[in-house]
Amino acid sequence: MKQPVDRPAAPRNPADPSDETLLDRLKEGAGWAAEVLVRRHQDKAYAIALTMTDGDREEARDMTQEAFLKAFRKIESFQGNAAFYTWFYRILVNTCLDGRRRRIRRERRFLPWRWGRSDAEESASSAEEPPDTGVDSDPLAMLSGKQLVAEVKQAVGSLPEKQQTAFQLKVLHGMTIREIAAVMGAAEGTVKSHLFRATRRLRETLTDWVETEEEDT
Amino acid sequence: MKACAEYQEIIWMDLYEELKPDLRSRLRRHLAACPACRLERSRMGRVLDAAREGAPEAELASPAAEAMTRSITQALRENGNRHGWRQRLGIGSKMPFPALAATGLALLLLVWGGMRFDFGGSPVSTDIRLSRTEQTLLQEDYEVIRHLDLLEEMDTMEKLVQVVDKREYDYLEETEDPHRRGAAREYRMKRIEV
Repeated sequence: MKQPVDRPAAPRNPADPSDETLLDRLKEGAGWAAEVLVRRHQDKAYAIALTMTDGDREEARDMTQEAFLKAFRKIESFQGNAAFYTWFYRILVNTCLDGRRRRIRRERRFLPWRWGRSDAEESASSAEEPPDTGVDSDPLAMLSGKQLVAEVKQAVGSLPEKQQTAFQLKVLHGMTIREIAAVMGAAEGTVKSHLFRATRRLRETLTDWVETEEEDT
Repeated sequence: MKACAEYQEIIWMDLYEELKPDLRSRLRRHLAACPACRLERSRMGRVLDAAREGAPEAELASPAAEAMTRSITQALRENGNRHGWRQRLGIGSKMPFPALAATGLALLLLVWGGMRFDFGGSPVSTDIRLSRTEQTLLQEDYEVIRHLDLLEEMDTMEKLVQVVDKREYDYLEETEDPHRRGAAREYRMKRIEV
């Protein structure tokens, strides 16, 4: 994903009914309204689910579907204080986090050898060698875009759950801090704190890489 | 070369496009004069770009999107049908647990009430509710039943004795000896009294 996806707060066409109108119809029992809402929000929802499931497309589809069903089944509890998509993304994020926790528990139970390894072993085996800064080496070649992308991806994956969620919603999905706070059910200050910690941690993890680049340039 | 500590978070907020206009202009002025902060901004910008590049392509293919929509609407329809028959039966689907709890409680009360109160003609009774006299009578009845055979034998013996006695008394009463006749009559009277 190169660019953040546009926020689906408003209908694409002015003639289209708004989310609020569709929700009213849905509460009255109009099934077609649910279909329109799914079509309107599924792309963005799937994109969020995909980043939260580490790129597992099948699981992302399942999570998206589960979140839609959960949302529609408890549509009566939606008060309309926030936009529908904020409320729905909150359900989606929680569904994805629950799914991730279930997956981790399952892997711990059935693949204990994978979890028996220490963090140090894990990071040593999965991280690539740090760039060779010797005279004969070529730092620019070593710091190819692909390598940096892989390093950043791994660093993001190792962030604590809330920091990772806040970072992904901000950087990959272009949400504002206010929207993230609504989606995560946290105060804006808390979200800001998660974001800063995540950024600082990434910055520290990738210090060697970015400073080698700096020296070379 | 280190970026100025007080500008680090401001640089991040700028990259996240969350900076207020006045702070942004202040940062621009600072960046123009501080190469270390310019470098820091450039580095972090590169890291964030790398994070975006590393994210999976999130395009939901048309058939997959269609399948998802169908699946969701079908599940909702099935859910709606279940909801429908519940309503027809008068069972609210919104709060099934209180209804179940109430039913369970009612059953419990009914069972408890049945055990606690004797509903008029119920033959059920317990030892706890018997008086001491009734218990004594029951114990005596039990003793009679237990020794019924013996009692029957005794009764037979009694009858046999009566038959033999009657013959004997009849014989004695018919004798010429008044002394014997008187003794037999007296003995018969005592037997009758007994």
